[in-house]
Amino acid sequence: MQLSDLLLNLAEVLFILLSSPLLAGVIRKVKSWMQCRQGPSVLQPYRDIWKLLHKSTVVSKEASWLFLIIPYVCLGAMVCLAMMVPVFTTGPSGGVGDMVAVIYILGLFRFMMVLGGLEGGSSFGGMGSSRELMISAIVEPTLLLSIFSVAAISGTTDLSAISAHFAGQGLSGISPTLFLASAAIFISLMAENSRVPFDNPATHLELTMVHEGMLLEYSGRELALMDMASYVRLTMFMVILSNVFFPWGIALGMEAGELALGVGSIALKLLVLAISVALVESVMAKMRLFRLPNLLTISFTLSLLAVMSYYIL
Amino acid sequence: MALLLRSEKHRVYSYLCSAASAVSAAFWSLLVLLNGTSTFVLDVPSAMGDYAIRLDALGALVLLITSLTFACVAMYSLFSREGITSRGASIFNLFMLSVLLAMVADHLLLLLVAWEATSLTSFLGAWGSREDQDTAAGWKYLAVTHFGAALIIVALVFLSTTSGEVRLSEMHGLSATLGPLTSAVVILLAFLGFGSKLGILPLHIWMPDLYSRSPSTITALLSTAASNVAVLVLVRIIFDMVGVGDQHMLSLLVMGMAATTALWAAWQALVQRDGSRVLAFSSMENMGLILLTIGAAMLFQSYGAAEPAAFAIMAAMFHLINHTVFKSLLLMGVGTVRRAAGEWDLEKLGGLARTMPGLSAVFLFGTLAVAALPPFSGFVSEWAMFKSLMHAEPIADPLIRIALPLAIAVMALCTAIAAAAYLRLFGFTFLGRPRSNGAARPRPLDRVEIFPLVPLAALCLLLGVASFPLLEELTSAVSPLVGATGIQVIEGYSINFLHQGGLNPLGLSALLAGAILVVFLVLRATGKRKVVLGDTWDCGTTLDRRTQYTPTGFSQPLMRVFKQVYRPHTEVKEEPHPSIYIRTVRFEQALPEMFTAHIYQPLVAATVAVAMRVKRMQSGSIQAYLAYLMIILIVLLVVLR
Repeated sequence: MQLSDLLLNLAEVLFILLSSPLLAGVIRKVKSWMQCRQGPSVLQPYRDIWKLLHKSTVVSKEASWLFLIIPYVCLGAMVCLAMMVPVFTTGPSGGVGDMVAVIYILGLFRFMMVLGGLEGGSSFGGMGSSRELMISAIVEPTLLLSIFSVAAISGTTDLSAISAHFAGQGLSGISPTLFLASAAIFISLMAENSRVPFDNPATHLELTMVHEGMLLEYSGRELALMDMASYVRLTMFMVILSNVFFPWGIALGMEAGELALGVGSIALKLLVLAISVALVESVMAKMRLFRLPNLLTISFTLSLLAVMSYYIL
Repeated sequence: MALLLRSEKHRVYSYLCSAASAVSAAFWSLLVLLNGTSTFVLDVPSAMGDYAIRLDALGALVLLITSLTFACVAMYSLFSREGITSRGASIFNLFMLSVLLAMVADHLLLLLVAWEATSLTSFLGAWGSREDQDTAAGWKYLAVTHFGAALIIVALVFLSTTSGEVRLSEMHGLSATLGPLTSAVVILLAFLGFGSKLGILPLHIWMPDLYSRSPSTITALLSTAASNVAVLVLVRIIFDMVGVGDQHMLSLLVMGMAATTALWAAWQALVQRDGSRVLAFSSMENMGLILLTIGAAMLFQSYGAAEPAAFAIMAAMFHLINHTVFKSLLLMGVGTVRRAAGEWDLEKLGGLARTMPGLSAVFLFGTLAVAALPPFSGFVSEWAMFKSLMHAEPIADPLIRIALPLAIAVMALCTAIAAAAYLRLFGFTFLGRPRSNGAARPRPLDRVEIFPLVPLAALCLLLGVASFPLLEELTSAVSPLVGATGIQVIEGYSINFLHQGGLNPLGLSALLAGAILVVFLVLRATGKRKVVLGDTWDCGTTLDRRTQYTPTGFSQPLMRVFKQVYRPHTEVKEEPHPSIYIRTVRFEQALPEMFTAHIYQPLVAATVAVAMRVKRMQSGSIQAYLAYLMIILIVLLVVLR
């Protein structure tokens, strides 16, 4: 890998890290507007993380050595993910793994977070962990099948190559497969990132929480890390959705003009996706936990249909 | 080769000897890898030609890892005093001898005898040493494995008589002379026969019971070494000795059986209360995935796509090798927990990471490897297995092109559910609060007890991070099986086959480790963290060992999602019943054993019924028996005239 590529990759990682709290803020702001509230500033997530970083950490006496390692592994995995996914340009992004590996990195994040939920023997942690696993057990096959469908079209599972393939084809690349797969990925995005209707990120009501339950024992710097990792995960899902399924605008070369266009287009796409997540969250109510499998099965079926439609149509 | 001293007096030495001979076997396989296939013809006349052993590159790779595992297990038996009796030691050695022989046997009789000896010694090893002995488990194992052995004998002897050869390495591509139907039957017989050791449905019923009842050293070897032999010989039979030909339906059948096994095992692993049973089902699941990939290889081969087939076999064999390491680590880890805490029930464990940090760390390595998470070994091989299913292009048949995505879906579902099961195993053994006195105050472990597990944990990481040499050797070893040449799997620093997206395990691990380190250093630079010890958040009530999630509760959501699979009988009793205040609640849940109830019990009932009918013949009068003899004699004279 050349130095310019490496610098570009680092720039992408910094862009993702710096913009993810903003996206979370935007989602909250739009949701407040929908509820006729003013809502906190879009910069609130930054302030929260800054505040948490300066607080001392309270660790349960019943937690083990793993407890304090988990947040670092989680955020580290997300940084690694930001290196692996093309953001501004379809140039080599890390070059260490393809889309299947990306899903496994997400799996590492989830595994560690769920283990963190079991630490300390808190009932809420156990509840959150158990529910998270129920959701992820159906989301993971969905993600892999969606990938398979785009990989079948473009003939590779390499993210940059998929992106370049669709971006190079222009509007003629649009096919039913792409739409079905992106719909499946969008539902998975909502499920994996604990958004309504799967989970309500704004509530701390014990009976409904999934994601917050797992983080209940974390505090101070470790909570900041876990929150940050969750923001980055949401952003990375959006980046994958926009750059793999609708990559138009992504830079195909390394010229300054193209790169500027790439930065602008990804920023715009992230904004649009964030607003649409907020809109979906505003118009839907949280579902009962045991209604969720129906919705997840729909997304699984969509991804299966995506693969079938490629081979049949 | 494994020189075995069975000194009954010096049991310690006998384990040392077995470790040493395992290491010598490893050296032999290294030699084979460096110098090429080695064959020894033993000058011992048998009923059918001379006995011979042969070790080719593929066998050597599997043997290398298997014998290293053997060495670790032997050291573990020695240090942990598990199975240290003269009987245990001699059975261990015999088991090792028979497994190693079966792995390298090149002679029909030698293979069959060694295979039988493997079954018998593992049965004996599982038999005696524990107090809570469930004899039914052992007998079930013996019955099923002999049923399997019968199928294998039929298949192999048939192959031998057709080809006129007794040396296995001399039989090649017999499907041409056998015809499609016969070769399909032979392959199926071998598949079911060896599948009886691997736990193919419905031949799996012995596995969970035997695993939960036997010493962990025996199950660690049974689950890894014996499975390795089974898969190795099966692959040779399918691709080399018989050949796939153009049997699409046979391949689909194999894939279907393997997929059902894997899925069923993943589901069952999620709800077990005993760590050994979780791992028993996990063995089934892993073997199911391996056979699914091998089935896909058969499919590719049947459409003449040799290169994807070679890649698929390579992925399956790589997973087999990784499985050897992490599964033996996990089984011995569970055994250590059981001995230290005196509890086998996950409902009664917990919190052991604070009292046994070393064991929890090595166990976490094994868990991450078996859950296929980067950068551990299971991840690289599962990645390769996934990729091997994504090569649908060479096949034009739309039915098959839909079958492969379905296989991917099944594999992904298995992986996700099984990962949940392993997480549950680790989480409820080592995290949380202790759920019993035994778990609260486990017997302190000697450092040497964990020591043999450390190399295995290191191998879990190493096989993932630096898998290139092994992968290259594996590829060149499996290519001749499918008649493919010059396959390039490694490209630069990544595993990249046919330019369809690559994985650089070394780079990925470096990136992951680097990212974690950077996060750590950046935060370190912002100042030292203040850590305050506190209580777990308790909502104002004091927490005790009961006020936390249980493993049963943990798997309830998934069990409800897949209710149709589990069909649980749940009963919740509230006492006293007509009252506003409920004092106690009883929760009972039973999972029916579907295969026992719907296959084996009817089978047993039918056998008994037939036996009752036949019993009438046994009238006891000598005249009747003479009449039977007379009739049989006449019939034989007529038939064999």
